[in-house]
Amino acid sequence: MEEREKEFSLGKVTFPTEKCGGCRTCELACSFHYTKLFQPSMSSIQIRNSPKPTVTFYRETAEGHIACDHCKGLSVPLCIEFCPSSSREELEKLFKAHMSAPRDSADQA
Amino acid sequence: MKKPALYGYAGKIIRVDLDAGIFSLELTEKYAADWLGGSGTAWRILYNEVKPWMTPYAPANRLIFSAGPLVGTFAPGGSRMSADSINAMTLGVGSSNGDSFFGPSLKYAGYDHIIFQGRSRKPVYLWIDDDHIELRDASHLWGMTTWETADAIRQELGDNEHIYTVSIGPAGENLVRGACIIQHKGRAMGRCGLGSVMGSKNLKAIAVRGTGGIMLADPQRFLDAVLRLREMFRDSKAAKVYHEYGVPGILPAKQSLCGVPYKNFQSLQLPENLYRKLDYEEFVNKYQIRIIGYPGCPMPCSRIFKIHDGKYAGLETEGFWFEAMANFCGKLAVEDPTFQAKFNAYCNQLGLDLDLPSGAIAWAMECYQRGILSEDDTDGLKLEWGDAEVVLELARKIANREGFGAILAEGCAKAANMLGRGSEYYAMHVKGQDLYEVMRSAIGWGLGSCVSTRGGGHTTGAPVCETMMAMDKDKAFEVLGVTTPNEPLSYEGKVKLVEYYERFHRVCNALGICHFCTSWLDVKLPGFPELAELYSAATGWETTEQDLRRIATKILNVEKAFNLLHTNFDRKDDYPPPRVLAEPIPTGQFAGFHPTREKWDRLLDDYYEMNRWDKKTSFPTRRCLEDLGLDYIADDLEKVGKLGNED
Repeated sequence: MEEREKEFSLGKVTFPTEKCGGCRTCELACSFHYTKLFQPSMSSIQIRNSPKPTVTFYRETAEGHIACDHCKGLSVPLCIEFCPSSSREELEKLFKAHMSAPRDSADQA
Repeated sequence: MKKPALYGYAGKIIRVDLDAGIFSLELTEKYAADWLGGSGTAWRILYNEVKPWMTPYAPANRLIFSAGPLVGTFAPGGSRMSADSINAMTLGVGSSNGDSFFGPSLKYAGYDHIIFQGRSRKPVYLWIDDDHIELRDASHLWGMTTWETADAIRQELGDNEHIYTVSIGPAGENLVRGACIIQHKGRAMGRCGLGSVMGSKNLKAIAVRGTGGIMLADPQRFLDAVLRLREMFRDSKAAKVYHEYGVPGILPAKQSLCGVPYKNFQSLQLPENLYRKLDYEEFVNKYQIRIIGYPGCPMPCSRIFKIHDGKYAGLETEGFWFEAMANFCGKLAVEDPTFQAKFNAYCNQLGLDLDLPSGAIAWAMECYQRGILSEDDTDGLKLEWGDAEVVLELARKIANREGFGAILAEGCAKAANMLGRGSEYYAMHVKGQDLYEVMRSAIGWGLGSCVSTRGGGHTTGAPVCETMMAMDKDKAFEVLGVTTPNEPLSYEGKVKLVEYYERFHRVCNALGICHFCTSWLDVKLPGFPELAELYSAATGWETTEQDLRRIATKILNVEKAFNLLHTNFDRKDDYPPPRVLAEPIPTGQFAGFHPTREKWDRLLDDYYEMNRWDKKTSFPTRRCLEDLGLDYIADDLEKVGKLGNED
């Protein structure tokens, strides 16, 4: 994966994104996965459009957001399932990166 | 989470009394089962509360914002909001629709509708933060563009990410009759001048943040249905084109089928050199920096453009649809492709519906061309076709009601009435609302646009299938029941198409679904049965296609009655502008054709009969209304002599 600016803090990892269209359908699908509610404020995945477009994954439950369980039991994580075709490939890469990213901030690349 | 009274819906309605500066809460369940929600519920409320003596800018007029039951879910296209009120241009039904994050956020905050009544003594904006509702001073925002307003509100409320706004710009503040309401910076609730209704109430904006959730009755059934529907999009070629390029990608089809208005509809094709300049794939490849979309949409069709050359270098803006292309480079004949992005952005900033300046300026340019208008009338401006600087200057004057702009701000119909001198013939409008719709080359599209209750408009009854040459005709017959779906000049089956879409569009507007995510775009995409399944799974109320059609027919008749009580519209107002029935298409494969008055008469006869309305007048009959449970409306119409005669 190409070198990127990454922001590590305990509990979440944030990636800049070039393809994300900011539709937030992933946030809806994610909350639905846990509680069957549509409640983006508690999703494991969070999209930000300002100051720059980013995708954040919560790896621990924090700030009201549930820790990502990688959609255990599903063949395709719901965030990826619901991502439009023009941005899905990038989200798959970011998701893999989030799953394999180090947990300790001292391990930053 | 506590078990809600309603599933799918948020459950509450906010009613804001701007006179007193207070608000109260009502329950959605009073209306939900009978009216679906969204603009369906809005029209039930408006019919009952907005009386015939109320005018658009009277404080007693209501302005209702609605997010339907499927908004805020991942139903395909489920992010549309409706704005409904008296139409500032026609004085009858005013209904406008657009998508953004405002609707879902309103639902997450706990509300399905906001009803505004009265007029605030000074500019205010409404701030909804879950349970917290507050009217805040907007004096410092008054005069700002919608872009400045969106940024300023987020700044002052301290959240640049999860606060969403709808706002008006200078056009709405100055009661420009065709002013619109802008969601965030670029999605418009465009038509019917509802931005000026909002301005008349001194209401600058609404801001919302919602952290709650929406609960469904049967989440698994809903998920299964949504996944099935999303498969339909994967197989749809039209969806693919829209996602990869956007709606202006239909230009080649429209050009071939004589569907592009040029120089105020004098011609229906672009000249060859302009057509080549407007190559849309080339434009996208050159200027697009990102595709963007809204919640639930499997085929996001919008994009961000960054213009890096020419007069408007540096402009970064959300993109435009075919309507912008047809209005700016067609009707106004501007030849610079980047002008599409520029004028689209400028109108969004001013809070000006694209069709208003395009319609009024195109009318004025043709009148200038024909010597009906001179520089004495136009503040010294030379109204030459295609002069982008003049168009921008006139739009600025319109938004500020300055000089000649004050006349254009009324729309081409009223402007022509004011001016006289035979200019009325060149005013392309239906029921007072400026047209972008070409009617000579597609009969169903023309009929649907003419009979629309909100004035000239294609989103409550007009089919688009007539221009889709590559179509699964068997599927089209199964869904639409006609054998001529893509024969634009045929009169056969067109009343049936309008019947389908008059109801289908209303269901979409009530549920909060984008028309593009449906059988409107492609007969293989979700239609009535699929929406019925989504609604049943979401709410727990088993609902069939027939149930949806019946509610939509009810809503249609409420709107029709509203028009009859508030205006003089009758059969005579369901005809296209004179040019359409008189002038043959000048060029292209349909050269020589135009609908005739006799044929249009027959269409209307059949259309009224289909709707069980009186053929002579267009008035609904008592039996039609009573069968829909609208006895009180039959009584109201009878009192004013506007009840149709039974055959």
